[in-house]
Amino acid sequence: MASPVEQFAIQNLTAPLFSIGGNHIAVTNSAVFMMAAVAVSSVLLVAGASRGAMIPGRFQAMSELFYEFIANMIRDNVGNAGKKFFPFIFTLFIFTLFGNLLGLLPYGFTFTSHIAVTFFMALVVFLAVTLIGIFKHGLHFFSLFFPHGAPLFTAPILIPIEIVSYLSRPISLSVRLFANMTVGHVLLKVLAGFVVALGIFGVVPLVVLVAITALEVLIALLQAYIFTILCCIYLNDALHLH
Amino acid sequence: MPQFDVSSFPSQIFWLVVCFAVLYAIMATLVLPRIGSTVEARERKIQSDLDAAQQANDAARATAAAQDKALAEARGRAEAHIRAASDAAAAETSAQMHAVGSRLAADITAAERRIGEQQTQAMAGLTGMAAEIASAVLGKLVGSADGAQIARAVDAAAKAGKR
Repeated sequence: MASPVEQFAIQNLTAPLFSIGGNHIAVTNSAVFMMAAVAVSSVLLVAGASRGAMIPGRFQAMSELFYEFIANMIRDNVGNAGKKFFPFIFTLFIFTLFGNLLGLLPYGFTFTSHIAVTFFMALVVFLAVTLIGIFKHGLHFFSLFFPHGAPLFTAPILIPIEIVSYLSRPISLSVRLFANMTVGHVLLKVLAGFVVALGIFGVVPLVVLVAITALEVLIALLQAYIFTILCCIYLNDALHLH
Repeated sequence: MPQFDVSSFPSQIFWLVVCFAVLYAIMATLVLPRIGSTVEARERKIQSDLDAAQQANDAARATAAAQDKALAEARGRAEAHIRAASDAAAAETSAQMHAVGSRLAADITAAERRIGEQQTQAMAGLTGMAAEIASAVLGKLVGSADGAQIARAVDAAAKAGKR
């Protein structure tokens, strides 16, 4: 039987197209699912956005649901200053969401189960947010590392703690998504192995498998939401400090 | 785990950047402005409909208030008319009653006076007649009568009778 982690293997589907800095870039299974996420989400959303009817149909209602969901998230967590970042945060949510969901299809590949992808996204967000904060507040931005109103003598303890906590943000952000996706798919694979191994009694793990699949859909939605809302909260910290 | 195979990282990051950029471009140009304008147009439409409804409601309220006021004024005028008419009728009735009453009182007084006169006359005639009857009776009984004495006796009898 295949190892439960074999599903995460990156496979080149074409010969290397070109190379960047000595690294050969080929179309991989991960790349195909990223393209699929872009294609599926774009088709759904463009179809939903193009009609612009006063009374929305199914696709339009779904598109507007996503739009209002992210717009409200930004309004509640960042405020008016966050409007400029709406397209980026919306794209981040849609890309993560469709990556998580398409990975649940049979024979699918979950690109969000790779630390390289999640960490790169988290790192870009982290660096962008830090630069926005420094650009907006100058040196005052570093007051983020010392909670307002804390006694001065606690500074030697608090400031290192705050710095470590700040620097660990991209790690916690990326590991949360990567670990949730990986563990979920490993669990599904292991349970599926039991279904085959137990023969007729495989019905029992099969029932569990169905339930866990439903749970994984929930986790796919939830982790996309958590990833996005944490980015909003980090952005809010940078824009408004504490 | 394949996730920690560093050799796949450049390829993954490359495709991530490309796909994310494409998705961002599509969202920022084709999707979000359109949904945004649709949502805004809907909000404006709802707001303008609500405003129109509010205006219509206000107008209806104003009309109802004007109607109530006109109704109250008309009722007030009607009541004044009724009061004036009934006052006039009452005044006329009482004047007529008064006139009729005083005429009747005058008639009654005149009639009473006439009755009194006739009574006095009748009484006076009665005394004379009583005296004649008495003298005639006395003439038959005793043969002669003193007229003056008889008149005095009749008078005294009439006085005693009246008492």
